[in-house]
Amino acid sequence: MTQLQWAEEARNGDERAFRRLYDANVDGIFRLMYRMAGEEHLAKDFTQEAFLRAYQKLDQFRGDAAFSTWLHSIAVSVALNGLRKADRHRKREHTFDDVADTLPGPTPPRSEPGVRERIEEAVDGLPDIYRTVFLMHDLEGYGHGEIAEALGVAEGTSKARLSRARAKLRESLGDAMQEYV
Amino acid sequence: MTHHDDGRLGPEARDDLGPEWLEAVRQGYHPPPATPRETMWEAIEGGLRPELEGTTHELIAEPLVDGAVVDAPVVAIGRSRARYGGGEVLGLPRRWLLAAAAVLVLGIGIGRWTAPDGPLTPQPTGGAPVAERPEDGGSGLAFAARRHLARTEPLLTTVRADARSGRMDPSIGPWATTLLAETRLLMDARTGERDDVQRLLTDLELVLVQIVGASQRGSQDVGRAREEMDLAVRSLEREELLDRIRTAAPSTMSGA
Repeated sequence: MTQLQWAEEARNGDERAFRRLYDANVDGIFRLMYRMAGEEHLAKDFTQEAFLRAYQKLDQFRGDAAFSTWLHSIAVSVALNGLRKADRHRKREHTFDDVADTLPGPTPPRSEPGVRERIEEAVDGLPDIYRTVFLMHDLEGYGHGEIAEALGVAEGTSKARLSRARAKLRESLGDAMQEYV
Repeated sequence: MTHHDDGRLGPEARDDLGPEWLEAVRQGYHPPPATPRETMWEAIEGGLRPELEGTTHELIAEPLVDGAVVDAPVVAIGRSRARYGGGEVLGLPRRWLLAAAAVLVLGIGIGRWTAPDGPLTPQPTGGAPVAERPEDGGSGLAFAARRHLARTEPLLTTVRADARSGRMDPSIGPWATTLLAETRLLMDARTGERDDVQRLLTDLELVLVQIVGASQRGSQDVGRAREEMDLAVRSLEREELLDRIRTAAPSTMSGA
């Protein structure tokens, strides 16, 4: 039985069919959500939200694309919106830690960031549209066709964004990459 | 450059960045843990159930038409009650207050114990507890506030999941009551004069009041209790409380 048929059954109220769809897709979705969010509670929230929204929108799934692709387009949208919201909060709340930065006193010497920290900083610094394509293609192995459908862009756009993302990473990382290339 | 859509990396990836470098990114940038399948399914199933039973989440999802009118009677449970009067203190039975105070004192104690001695210095990154100015009420209170906020997250998550599935767990009431008492003690203690934290505690207090109110009504009028719990969840979502709590106090601080 295909995912298309399960989707049809789920649309008719069969929860077991939806569970099969969940089992078939949850690993990929959760991995991508985690790559995007970097925090387990956010990745869980986004994954759950994506499946719930998919269930609510099953009527709109016409089967033109694979169910998995359709689900990914929902998940990516949920994650991007959720991350923007989380980012707004981080800026607005600026937590307790900012207070310490304003206090008088000696500034402790900052140790040089390691390669891992530099990689994280560089990837985090990519604009969303480049970062998403980079994570999907280079880290999670999605093809440009899938990425294009999930993001609602042309395949050429996905390729161009990936190329731009890599160029920006090369720029940001510079000498750190020499250790690996 | 060529691109392959048939699976993993295309050759241009190797040409551009090098396989070792990409492997380093793959392993070092947010490497995903094992998928918590069952935990997530439980939450999703909770959300599906009302749909399958023919009801919807509209009450939770739709925007509040008139927040002031809808919220007023519920909020009044906590606000209009004599907060320092009669047989109740802060609007709560004394035993809850004592339990909350004990937790709070413990939190402050841990904060004092873990706070650095001598002059305060900036912390390089977030995550670790950071001391406040001693004259602001002490680092112990700031730590206790963050710890307290982290401890409210599981309650709020449970309430939201329950509301989605139409359940009402009877243990929510006492749990929320204790946390409400603690929240009010921290509000009154003015934890370090930080506006954002005070605002967060105030918003949290209102949601907890709604949850406590709904729980108290639970045994007498189930329908009304559900409506009030839905209102609490709407306040929770409208104020984006969970996101703000997670930002201010990572769950690793909960001590759970």
